[in-house]
Order: sequence, then C-alpha cells, then structure tokens
Amino acid sequence: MTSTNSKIVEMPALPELEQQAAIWMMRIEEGLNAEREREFQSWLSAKDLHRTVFERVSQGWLELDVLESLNDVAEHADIQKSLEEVGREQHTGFLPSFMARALVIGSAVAAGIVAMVSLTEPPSTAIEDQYLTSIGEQRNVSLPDGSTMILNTNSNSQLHYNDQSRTIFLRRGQAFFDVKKDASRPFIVKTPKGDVQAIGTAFSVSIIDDQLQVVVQEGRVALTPNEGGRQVLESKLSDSEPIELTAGHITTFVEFLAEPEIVDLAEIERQLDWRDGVIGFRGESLEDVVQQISPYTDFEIQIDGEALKNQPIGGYFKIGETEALFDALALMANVKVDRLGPDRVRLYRSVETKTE
Amino acid sequence: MSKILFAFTQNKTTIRRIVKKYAPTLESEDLMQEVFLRCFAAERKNLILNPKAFVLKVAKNSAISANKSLGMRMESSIDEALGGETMIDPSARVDSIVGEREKLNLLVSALLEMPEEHREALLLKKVEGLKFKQIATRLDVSVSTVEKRVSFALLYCMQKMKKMGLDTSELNQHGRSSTWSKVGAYSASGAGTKQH
Repeated sequence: MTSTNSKIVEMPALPELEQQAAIWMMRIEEGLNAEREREFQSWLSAKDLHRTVFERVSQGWLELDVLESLNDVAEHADIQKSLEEVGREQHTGFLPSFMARALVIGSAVAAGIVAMVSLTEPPSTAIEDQYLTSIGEQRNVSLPDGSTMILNTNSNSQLHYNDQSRTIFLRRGQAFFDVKKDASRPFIVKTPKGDVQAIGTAFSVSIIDDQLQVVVQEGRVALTPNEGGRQVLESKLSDSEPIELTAGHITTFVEFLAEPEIVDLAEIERQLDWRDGVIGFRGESLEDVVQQISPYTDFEIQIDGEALKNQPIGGYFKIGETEALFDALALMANVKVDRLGPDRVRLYRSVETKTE
Repeated sequence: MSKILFAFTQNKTTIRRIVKKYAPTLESEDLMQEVFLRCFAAERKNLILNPKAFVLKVAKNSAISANKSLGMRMESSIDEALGGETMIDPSARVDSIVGEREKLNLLVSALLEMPEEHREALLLKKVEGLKFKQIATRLDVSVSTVEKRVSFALLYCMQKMKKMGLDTSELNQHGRSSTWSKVGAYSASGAGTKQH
C-alpha cells in the first residue's frame, strides 16, 4: 500500500511552506482522492499564508505552460530544413527528416529506430510519423487530415500519408480511429495479419500476440486478411474480395479468420471503454480482470486460492492506476496485497475472513 | 541535451559570425538565443548525429529567415503606420510587456542551471504532457520522487522569474529574500532521495 503518513501538523517558516504548496500543486495536477482532498483543504484553511503561497505557486505552475511551445519551436521549418541538410551532407547515410522527427521523446524509442531503417522509402511530399506508447500509457493523436487516433497501451504505430492514401501501420497494440471522409485518399490500417480499410468510420484495430481484432463502432470497414487468414470464410468469398464489416461487428482471428460476431452497441461501447482511460467490469472473475488489465501494468499479479480467482468483480479500472485497483480490492473484496517485489504482487484472502 | 549545449558553447564564435553574416542588421545576441532555443527544442525530438553541423545549420537557416521576415515586418509596420488604427487586445498586454518568447528563453536558461534529473522531469510534464506516473516509469523512480523533482524545478523557475522581474503575481512580498538559497537546500535534501 502507498504510505499515507504525510499529515502536516506544524506550521513551518516560509520556504518549507512553498515546498509544501508546490507538492500540493503536483498532487492536484495528478488528481486528489477524497482523503487527500480533505487533507489539502485543511492545509489550505489552516492559515491565510497557506492560501497566499499556494496561489502564488499555482500561478507559477501555470506560467510554466509556456514550455509547451518548445514543441512548436522543434517543429519550426528552419529546424526541419537544417535536419535535412545535415542529413544529406552526411556520408553515413541520409537520415530522412521524417525519421528524425519520428524519434519522439528519446529513450523509449531506441528499439524502434532499427526497425524503421529497413522501411525507408520517403517520397518528398509524404508525411511520416511514428507514435508509441509504453505500458499503461495512452495517446490521443490528431492526424493531419482531421482524423483522430487513440493509441492504447504498449502500442507501436507508424503514419504514412501521401497524396494517394492515408496509411497507418499498426505493428503492435491497439488503436481506435475516427476517420474523416476523403474519397480520394483511402484510409487503411495495415497490420501484420491483414489490412483494414475505412469508409468514414469509427473503429478500432488491435494486433496483440499475433491476434488481429477489429471492432466497428460506426460505418463500414473492409478487412483484407493476409495469406492464410481467409480460410474459414473461404467458401463464402471470392478470392480477392475483402470482408465487409459494419457497425456492431467484432471480428478476431489468430490463425484463421473467425466468423464475424455481431454484438449489441452496448458491448461495442464496452469493448472501446479503454479510449476513456477506463476498463469496465460487470461481474467478471478476478482472474479475468487481472488478465484484462495486464496489458496496462508492469505488475505481475498472482492470485492465491480458487475462491478468490472466481470472485466476481464489478466496476471500473482506471488505466495506469493499478495501485487504486489494489486499494479497491482490499476495501471491497477483503483482499490482502502482498508485495513480492517492485513489480510483483500476490493477492490472497486471509484465512479468518473466509471458511477455507 | 548536453550534446547540443556543448556544441553550442564550443562554437559560439562561429555561430555569432554566421548570424552576423546572414542577418547583419539584427541584434546578434537575440538571434543566438533563438538559435540555441531551437536547437534545444529540436534535440528533444530528434536524433542528432552531428550536433556541431546541426547547430551551425540552424544558425544559418534561422538567420536567413529572420532577415527575410525582418524585411516583411518593416513593410507591415509601415502599412500600420499609414493605415492608423491597429487592434489592441487588452488581455495580451501582460504578455506584450514580457514576450512569450522571452519568458520561454528565461525558463530554458533556468532549466539549464538545474540538475538534469529535475529538468527532465519538468519537461516530460510540461512539454510532453505526461502524467507523473508515466514519468516515474520512464525515469525509473517513484512517483513521489517525480513530484519532488518537478516541484523543485517549479520553485527554481519561479525564483528565476522573480529575479528577472517577470513575476506576474503581486503576492511576492512574503519572504522573497530567503527562498533562493532554501530552494537549493531543498534540492539537496528532498529531491535527491531516490526510492525504488
């Protein structure tokens, strides 16, 4: 459990006060739970000076928003030009500016660079960009044509726009697309298992553990599986015809393409809950819940006891807030959380609470 | 970051010469600051294989386009002078006293003065817009360490803004003298503790 020992009792001199105010500012930025909110309010009202200092600190915090414009500075035409020129002059090989641009925020991306080099074929007018998310992270990306892409946890996508087409390579993970109509430029999501083409549509595509899944919320999409993917539906299809999926369809395939499943809109919505940063549960077993949240957390979660594994769970899991889930389990289901290591926990129920 | 900063400091004279050559009528120090800001921003998003060549290129390209837009700006201010009325947005007045770009430059210089771990945490928050939790994962430290680092960076920047007279709040009569050194002390005690 997170330690909540930061009860502020004494009334320190000013610099400490600024630090306290700044720390509160950080916590507020991240969101306060009810307990923390109460703690904050009592801190704030303890002295007039607290409020004064806090207002100043929060003003300062807002001032720092100007740093966001570094993003625009980095995109400046002079910089792009310079990157291209420097790249061209280098004998070691031309690093196209799109690639340079694609190396979003340093560290996490290193592995991606190697993969990308092999597929360089940059036409001059094309827009190329790579978007990645780490485990537990989601990104909302506005695409150049006005479409949007919501990238779920642990995903890797690459954008390739030119005059003829809008293509997204989804190499790993899950993405939801809300596509702007543009008859002259088809919108295609390419995955290692097949291609999904949209026609003014809202849909999600995921490619996780070699399994392709398409969920259609609105409009129509055309799915063209790669070799081997169409065997199940072979009888119903002429050779090169794509499979059309309309709103309410979910289709999944691993080795073979399964018959598209039609579900009600509520189920589609639930399948797409992750876009809002939450996953809903309606009485699934704890084992299922743990399995479903596993893509969003670095924690390896072990459940002890059959009864606990089958414990039905209802409610919402906020993506990236695994600790809150543990807290909720402890509170609602009387589950004990045993820390086996920084990334490993064991969930169990103490013997005296249940007849076991 | 450091590579660009290094390349910039090492080649300051050359950069100044380039800037003066391509934008002879412009204030070279301002332009150099802009060049640095651009390189600094670019390095966060790009893999720069040859920092020196890149810095010099940015200097050249920035000077050329600043020189070009200076010509355009002069024309438009003549137009304004002839045309009379220009729209003044009252809300923009604070910012016009202290230009956004000036504020950005100042903050970046404050960032360069602080330890890299604090700077990085703040930039991931304000530039990349990440949550503390995500920053913690990326930097492999606890969330509370991230909170401490970012709040240190915040207080440091506020201090710097105040020093330069860019403090927009009027509430700074409280203890303004002692905070500076205490912020430093805070960095040593609070933010330095790494918990895993």
